[in-house]
Amino acid sequence: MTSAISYAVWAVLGLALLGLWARSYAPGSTLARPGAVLERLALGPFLRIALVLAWGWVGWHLFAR
Amino acid sequence: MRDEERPGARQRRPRDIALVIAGAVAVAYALVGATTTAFSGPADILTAVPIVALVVLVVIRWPLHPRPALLTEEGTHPFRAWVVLFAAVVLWELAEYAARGSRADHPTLSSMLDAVNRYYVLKALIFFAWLYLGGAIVRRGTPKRERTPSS
Repeated sequence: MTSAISYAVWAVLGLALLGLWARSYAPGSTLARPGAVLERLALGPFLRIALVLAWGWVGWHLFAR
Repeated sequence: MRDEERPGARQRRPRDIALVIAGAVAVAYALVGATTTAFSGPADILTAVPIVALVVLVVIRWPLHPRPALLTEEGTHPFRAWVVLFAAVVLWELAEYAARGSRADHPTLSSMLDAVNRYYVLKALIFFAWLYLGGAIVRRGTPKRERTPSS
């Protein structure tokens, strides 16, 4: 039962991600597209450092550890 | 009008070729990377190489003092929903990580991806997605006049 709730929340978050992704491409949408979000992060003086570190950490954690 | 007669067609062709080559290299690298086992030397090396490459590219291509483009119109909040979703994911990840009980009862992103990584094709897809994201990070931080599709 506990895991069902956990997976349900993850599923909702995943669907929300897909929903935002789709909405950002809708005509007239003011929501930033994923590429624009990435660009904003990559051009932030501190955020870009966090972005590179996070990307490296994710890869190391997933494939090497 | 034939394709080669269109303005910019000649410039586009080498870029398209570079894009195809970069994509093919990333696919091949992901297919090889997915064959490795975590906690092994080959896995360390095949994961470290893209990380080092990205850091080198970032140092070479990104400006020292970036100027964020003005992406927002007055009165709009184009990033708010993304920030809220990111915060929700982080909070739920932390809650699951700290929860008492087995990881099966409280799955985290890592544990779910570990389960997916047991399948070669899925692991190769995730490895490719990681490489693609790295390329996109380098490209998005590069000033637009210097961008090429291969970066």
